[in-house]
Amino acid sequence: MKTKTVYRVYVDYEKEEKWLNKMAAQGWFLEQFKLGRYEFRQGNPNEYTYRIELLEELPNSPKSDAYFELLEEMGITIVATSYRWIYLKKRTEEGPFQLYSDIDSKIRHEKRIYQLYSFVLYLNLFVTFLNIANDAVPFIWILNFTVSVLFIVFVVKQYRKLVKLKEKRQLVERDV
Amino acid sequence: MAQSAGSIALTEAVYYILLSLQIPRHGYGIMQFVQELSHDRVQLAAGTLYGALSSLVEKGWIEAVEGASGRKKEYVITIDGQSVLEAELLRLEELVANGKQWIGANRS
Repeated sequence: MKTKTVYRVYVDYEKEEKWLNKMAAQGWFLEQFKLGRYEFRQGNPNEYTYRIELLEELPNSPKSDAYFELLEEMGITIVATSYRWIYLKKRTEEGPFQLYSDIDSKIRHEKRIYQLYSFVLYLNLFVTFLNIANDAVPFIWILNFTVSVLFIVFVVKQYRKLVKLKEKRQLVERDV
Repeated sequence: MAQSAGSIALTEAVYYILLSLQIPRHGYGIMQFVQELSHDRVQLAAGTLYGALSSLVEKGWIEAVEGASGRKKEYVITIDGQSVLEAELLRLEELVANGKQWIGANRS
């Protein structure tokens, strides 16, 4: 069986999802993921559809167990987990694969991601100030600061996504 | 609960979940029942269903019960949930009645 390994860094999970599904369309199916390292196995094009989700709790918590049971019954397989992120696949022939079927639940999911990015941003800013206060070599705090600036962009993007969903929700609770 | 129930508007997902829990069901059973009831129109996705179930348990409108199969967790509606659902039915009846009376009223 042919396999291949690709190294990539994604912050936007929707872009990552699109890429995984593009790979799947070409017959490459994600088998393992670890910190930017994606392992693919070759199969029949489009056999599986992929989704990525940020869980409320860590994958090994009892609450996640009940969710995993439900996923399994719906024919959804957990491919990999990374912190609270999980990578899921479902056979494409079994029909469309969505994790959220109304706007409210989409908002809750995007909000979790927003809170995660905000947390990383505040943590980085905090470390930046600590480093400056402790007269660390400029290289270190400049690195921290650059990461902070990046995460400001991610937080703002995620915030806009939330605002758009909330605007939509004022008129309808579900759209296609 | 009962006195405030008149002003609550449920989402479609919550309405159908409460309706399906007139008898105990597990997560997948709820999804199948709702899909059947709505003739495939409402397909509760895993994340949506699971999130709604935990919020409803937290609110006390449904509760987890020991499943017949033993291993699987089942849910059933509570008395509070039942009064919310009944109030919602009255609200929906009003919406339908008004819709029937007024939609297209200026045409005839």
